Amino acid sequence: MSKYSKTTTVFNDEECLVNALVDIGYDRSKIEVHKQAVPLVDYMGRQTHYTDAKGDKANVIIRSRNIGYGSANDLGFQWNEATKTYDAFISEYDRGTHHWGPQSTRFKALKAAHAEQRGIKTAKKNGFRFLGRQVVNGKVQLKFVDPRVVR
Amino acid sequence: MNPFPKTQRDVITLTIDEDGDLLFLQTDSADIFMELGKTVTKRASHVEPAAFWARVAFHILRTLVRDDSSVAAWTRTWDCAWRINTKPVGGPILTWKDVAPSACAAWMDDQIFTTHYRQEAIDAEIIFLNKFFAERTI
Repeated sequence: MSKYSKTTTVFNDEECLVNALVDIGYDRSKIEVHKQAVPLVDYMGRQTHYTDAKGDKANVIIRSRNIGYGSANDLGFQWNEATKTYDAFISEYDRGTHHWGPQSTRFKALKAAHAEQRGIKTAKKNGFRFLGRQVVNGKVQLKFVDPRVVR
Repeated sequence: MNPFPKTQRDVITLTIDEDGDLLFLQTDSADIFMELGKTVTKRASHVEPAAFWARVAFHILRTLVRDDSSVAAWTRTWDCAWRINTKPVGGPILTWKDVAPSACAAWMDDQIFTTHYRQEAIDAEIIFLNKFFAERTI
């Protein structure tokens, strides 16, 4: 009998999140990373208030002018100390499936790229050897060897 | 000659699905990947006796006891032919075509694959499931 696990990807590693944004096509120089969260602004340059009446802030940001389509607002990821994950700030306008909505190609690609980065990082941290990556039917498969297992 | 591809039991395969979520077969080694997000673990398949009554007895016992119990361990040592049932993930009972497509005569393709070596069945099961995860939506 075999069991399988399905892990829903969450953004829980800054380095992997930034690398994942680069993997899906954003220039590293256009990705802001802040230890202390800084304000997000909309396409007019006004501070946004999606979740915070005092103004939204985020730690990892792609500014609206660099998002890749017109009239976008800043895209931000704020570290949530309680859940130990990054929460995505995506404006109402940007939540469409053609923009950055949870069901959009962009968001799914970011999750996949983060999962890949995080999978490789976690494996290496635990002493696993990375055997390689292959794409099957549009899905990425990563293979590792655990040197602790006796053959 | 052994027609089956040799499975490295220390190899772990992670499949990243179309939603960006991860799928992997459960092993002690693969536990480290559970920290990557919220994880749900489910049954993927059964390596079960090929003979009907042995299979009935096997499933009754396995329903009554825990997977890590001594009774469950004993059922894994039965001297019988084993087959691979992947119905828990919506897959088939594996045929020779699924397990060793190029190694058998054409008339055997649709026959249910059986082997007396349980580990051989497990190795074939792992290869099939990792391929299945890449080709289907689970």
